[in-house]
Amino acid sequence: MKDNFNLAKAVWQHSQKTPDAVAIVYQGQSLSYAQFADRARRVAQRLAQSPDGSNRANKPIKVGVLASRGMDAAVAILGACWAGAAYVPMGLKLPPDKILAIMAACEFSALIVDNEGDKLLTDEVLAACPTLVIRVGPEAWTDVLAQPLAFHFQKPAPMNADDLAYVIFTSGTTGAPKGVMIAAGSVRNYIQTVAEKLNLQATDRALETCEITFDVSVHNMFATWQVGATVFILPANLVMNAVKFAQAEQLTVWNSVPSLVGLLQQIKVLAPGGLPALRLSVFGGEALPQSAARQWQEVAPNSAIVNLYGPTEATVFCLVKVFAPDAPITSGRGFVSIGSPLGGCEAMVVDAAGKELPDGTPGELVIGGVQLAQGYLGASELTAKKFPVFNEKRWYLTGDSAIRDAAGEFHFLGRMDNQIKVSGYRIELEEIDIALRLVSGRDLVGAVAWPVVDGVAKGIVGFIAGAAMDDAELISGLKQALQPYMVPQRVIALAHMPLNASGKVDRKAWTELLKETVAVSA
Amino acid sequence: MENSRKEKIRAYLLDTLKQQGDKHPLNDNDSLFVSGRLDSVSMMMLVVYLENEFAVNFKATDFEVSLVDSVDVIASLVASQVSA
Repeated sequence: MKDNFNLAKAVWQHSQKTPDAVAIVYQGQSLSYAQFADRARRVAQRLAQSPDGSNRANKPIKVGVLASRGMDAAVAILGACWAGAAYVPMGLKLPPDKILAIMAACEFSALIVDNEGDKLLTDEVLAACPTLVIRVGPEAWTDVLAQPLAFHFQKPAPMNADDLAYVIFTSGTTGAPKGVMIAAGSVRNYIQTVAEKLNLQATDRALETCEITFDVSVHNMFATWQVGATVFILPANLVMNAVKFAQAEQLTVWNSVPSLVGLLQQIKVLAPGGLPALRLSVFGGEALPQSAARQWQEVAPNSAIVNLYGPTEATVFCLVKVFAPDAPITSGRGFVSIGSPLGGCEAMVVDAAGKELPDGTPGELVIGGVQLAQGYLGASELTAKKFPVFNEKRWYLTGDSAIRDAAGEFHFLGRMDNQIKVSGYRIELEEIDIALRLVSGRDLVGAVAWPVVDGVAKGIVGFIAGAAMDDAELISGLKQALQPYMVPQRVIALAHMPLNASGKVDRKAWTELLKETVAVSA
Repeated sequence: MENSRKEKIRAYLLDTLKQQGDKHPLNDNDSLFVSGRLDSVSMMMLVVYLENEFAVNFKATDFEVSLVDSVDVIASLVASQVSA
């Protein structure tokens, strides 16, 4: 029997073996594996039909999911997987232009929206929509579940290793979002490897604090479902209740970006021993400062600390470092070590020519192995550039500066370009430059990460040449063009713009300027 | 005394909203965070502001988003700490 790489396979298996085990908890409601599978297969059936109810000739290829994290989003995603399609998550805060751009690039077979996503379906967006729009939400289920289910949809559709599993869009330097195409075989390797490495159990109760557009959610959801455990989804507007939530629900697995630890610390909800039920704390999506890791060990004394590293282009995460509950967090560098490659992945540090560098010498971290993306959607040149072949193998150039130490462990040192991470969100500063140019009408503009605390960017400041403009108007305009996490906290007008030797905007000079201003006002 | 405290809180929040290009009116019982109008970073900055401006001791509270979700509840929180 041919192997099926469908991401929904594990949920289907658990729906048969442990049908009453809980798969998802959200806002006080829960779905068992049997209920979850049932809804997913109904969505899959719907995806296989045209609006008039007749069967479609071809199975759906790419399905857009416009929803915020929660039960409906999870059902939408699993439903797309069940149908053998790739799911393409889109954020609810995406400016309409970007939604249209993604729809044009993907040519969706269908679009699934939750109640919030439905509000974004303006006439213009609907005109660009695929003919099939499926609405999911609490009101929909009674009717949908009452309909007969064709035998064909009992099991997830067969999928091969190189069938697309999902496409996740990230910030692009040209202003157009970049779609990273990930195949089912790559996801299977990640999910199975990490579930085993972290020894996830069916009894685990795992936290989800990430949006579906963030590939960390692939870990939080699918790694948990892989073993038949429960995902507890905490919506964005309540994320500051995370500690209380973890305590109340007796969560055993914490999943978040490191920045959340900093935020929780600021509101004074992190007390030593406050989370004794946690046995595993998984951090990923951005660099993990040692101070945050050490503090977390005090808050969750029975928890192993896991640092996961990986670009979206290498399927969620590809390197891991695990600390046992009492193990000392490696000292000597600001960020916690990113450890070693996961099974099926390779990593090395290379020079500009792609030649491997000796241990201890900084260079670019490149990733190889089965988790490499197929490439960027509709961008073959960029794909060839970022996924070169050397030593007869295909590699991904991460753009991260790193070293491998004498013990063979890798350490992240910083970016080599203008990409920054704020709260785990990947941001190309050039994308913000483009929006600044558009909104201000000025040519000499730019953005920098500011402030930067312990090597971690906490926000963005924009600069424009010339006289000051109305702040509120600028920010308003930027909000139309950019996702909220990319909008600068403020925009500073400079009479004289510092340029570097090549006549380009000098971001370092701006950062120095900001440092001086802080020093003066302190 | 009470009113000027509320005024300060409202002024701070209006400024925060303005900086984000949000010019919609702010009523005393409008949801700030649960509604998604302001995000977790703004919440953190509000906490720092309340600590500095009114010496609110968050360690002594059983923190929840609902404790700071509107001008009214924030004013109550500050008042409860002052009289305690």
